[in-house]
Amino acid sequence: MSRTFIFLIIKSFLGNIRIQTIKTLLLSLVLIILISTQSINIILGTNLQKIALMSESVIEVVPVKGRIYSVSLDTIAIPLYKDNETIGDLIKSPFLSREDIKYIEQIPGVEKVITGNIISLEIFWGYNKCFDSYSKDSILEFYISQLTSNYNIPREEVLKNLEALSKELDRPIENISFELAKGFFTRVHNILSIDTDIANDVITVFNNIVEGQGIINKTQDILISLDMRNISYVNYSINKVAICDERVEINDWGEILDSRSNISGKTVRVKLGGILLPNYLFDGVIDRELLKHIITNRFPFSNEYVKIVYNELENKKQVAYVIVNDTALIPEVIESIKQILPSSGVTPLSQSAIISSASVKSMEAYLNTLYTSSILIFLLSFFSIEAIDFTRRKKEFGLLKIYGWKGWRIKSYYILPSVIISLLSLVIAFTVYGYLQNFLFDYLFSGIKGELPNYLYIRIRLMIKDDLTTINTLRTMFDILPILIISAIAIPLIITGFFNRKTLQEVLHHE
Amino acid sequence: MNRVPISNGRTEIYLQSVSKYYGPNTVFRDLSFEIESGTVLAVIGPSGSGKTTLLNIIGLISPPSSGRILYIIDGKEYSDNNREINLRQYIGFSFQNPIFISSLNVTNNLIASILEETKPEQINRIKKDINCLLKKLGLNNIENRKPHRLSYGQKKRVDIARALIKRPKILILDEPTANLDRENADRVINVIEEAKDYIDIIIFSVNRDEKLMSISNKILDITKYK
Repeated sequence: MSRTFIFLIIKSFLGNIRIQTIKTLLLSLVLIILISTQSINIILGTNLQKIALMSESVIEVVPVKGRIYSVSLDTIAIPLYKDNETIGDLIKSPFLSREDIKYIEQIPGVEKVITGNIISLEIFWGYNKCFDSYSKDSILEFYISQLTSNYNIPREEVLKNLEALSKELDRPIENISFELAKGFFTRVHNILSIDTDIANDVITVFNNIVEGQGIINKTQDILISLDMRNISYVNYSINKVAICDERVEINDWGEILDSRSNISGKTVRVKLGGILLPNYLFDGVIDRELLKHIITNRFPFSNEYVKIVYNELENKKQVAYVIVNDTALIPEVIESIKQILPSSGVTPLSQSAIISSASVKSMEAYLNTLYTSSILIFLLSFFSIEAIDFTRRKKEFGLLKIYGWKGWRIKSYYILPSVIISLLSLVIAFTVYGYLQNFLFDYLFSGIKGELPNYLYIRIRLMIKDDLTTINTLRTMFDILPILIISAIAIPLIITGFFNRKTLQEVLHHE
Repeated sequence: MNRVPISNGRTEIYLQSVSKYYGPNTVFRDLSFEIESGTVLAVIGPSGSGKTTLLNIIGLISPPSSGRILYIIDGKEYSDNNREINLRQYIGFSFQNPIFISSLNVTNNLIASILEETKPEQINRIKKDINCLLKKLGLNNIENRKPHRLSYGQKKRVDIARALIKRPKILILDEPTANLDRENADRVINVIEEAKDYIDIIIFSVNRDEKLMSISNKILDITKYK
């Protein structure tokens, strides 16, 4: 391809800069929407595949008195104990015995019973040096809640309960905080390790500024859980912690640049103690082997750094998931379980699944609409512009033939600008998406439906398999993205081919 | 069809029983004649008589309904449907209603027209030739203008410059002086006369311009072939 030809193409491209800009912006806009919706979908789809580990119909059996430890899915963040029970009673409450499980397993329609326990995970995220100075520093859990419409952390109540619980158990409040965190901290970002001397100041600074955001002292116990959506949260935390060597590693020291830290008049130096992510899957209630399986699948590289630590309640099953053959049998199975275990709470999670299914479906509808409209916008706009350009290009095509341009040259003349537009659009789209990413998850994502983050966090895992099929269909649709990009390049090629079949006279409209 | 004699190093065009129809309408029929090197052919006839159609056929823009055209260029014979070689590179064509690549300025439009025959190192020389030619046609300081900023007369002359810049063997001009004022029409005529020195065959259509007709050495009245 000669320099002169390239020069002419560039000149021609720049000569039409207005139309090219409109095309580029349009394509960028559509790509941004597609990339965004796709990333949301990947999160959904990935999680839903994990969720598929659960069976089609699930019943959760929770000993009511054990609720303090096994916060059930539906009662998450609900006050910690009932009025008519003392904390002591709760602590001494019975667990599901082996016999109980056996009885449940014998109920007609029950396929499998998965029993679980509260666990805490310590994930040493690829750094054995993590928490070296564990004993010297106070470990603070730094959390920011961004839940919006439906869910407000019952902060005062929780703290009140925390104090009451502390007295009842005769344990320092810090020791029990992590269990509580499971109940009400739905979005937890980092564990920050910080000098004990300034710990209280840091807590004051953070806790007094914005309701729903703050730090809780966690001197001894660490809860690290899993979050399949970790990308956005990790990004968020990195934004908030400036590390001197520009690489965030656990145990690194840095400064919190958040303006809130300036209110105290101090520059708060913090150490990144670990990445604390919301306990997305099976928070605290899960079969150990199943959990291991999930962790292995999710974090195959992290096996040696993941320790599953059962608390002192090991071997005492607190929760059982009862998997039922047929959704229709759920009411009967529930009745049977209630007869066997009259003091237990039985929650038909399939009902939750239906609710969450509805929520996901609304999200699907939203994504579908967004996706379809973006494609329509693209097609309409692109073809409109092409149509406006049609007459001019038609004549130009005839001219190029008269000039004696070879076929490949004519094709290149039309295709190269499209390639440039496509590449430019991709760069713009990914750049904009890079900036939009955090907002997408914090605003757009939760903006889809008020309770969606809750649903994603809590209930979406209970989706029954039937619902997965629609998601898979949706995911297939996202595969159209590369096709769209190729189309942007192919359209001029098709037009060129169309012209090529015409005689010069037809093209030029010369009688 | 008889074999056409080949004259080495010369350019000739042979039209053999060429007809053109649009549906039931006959534009012209059974048109046979030969055009030899050195010919300046004026195709005459009133508006709508088929002058442009004939020029388009000779200029390979549209095919005849029947008949055949043979081109002899530098002693080699080509037919109008010969696809082995791009005959168009030997033909310079100026339209009655000029069209350009709208996104390119005048200079680049002219360069685009000779892209296939031009080597990158020739570009500077060609730009000088373009400037020179444009000046001869009374077009000063329009090199960097886009086509939409040119008047009809300017477009017409740029189109003629475009046909000439490739120094074709055959130059075809469709009413080159139409709608030009006398001064600019004379400029065009002068340029055509100069072109006789390096272009083998010049064919133009003309309606009323006697002065233009006077530079021809052969006249074809298209109305005789109705």
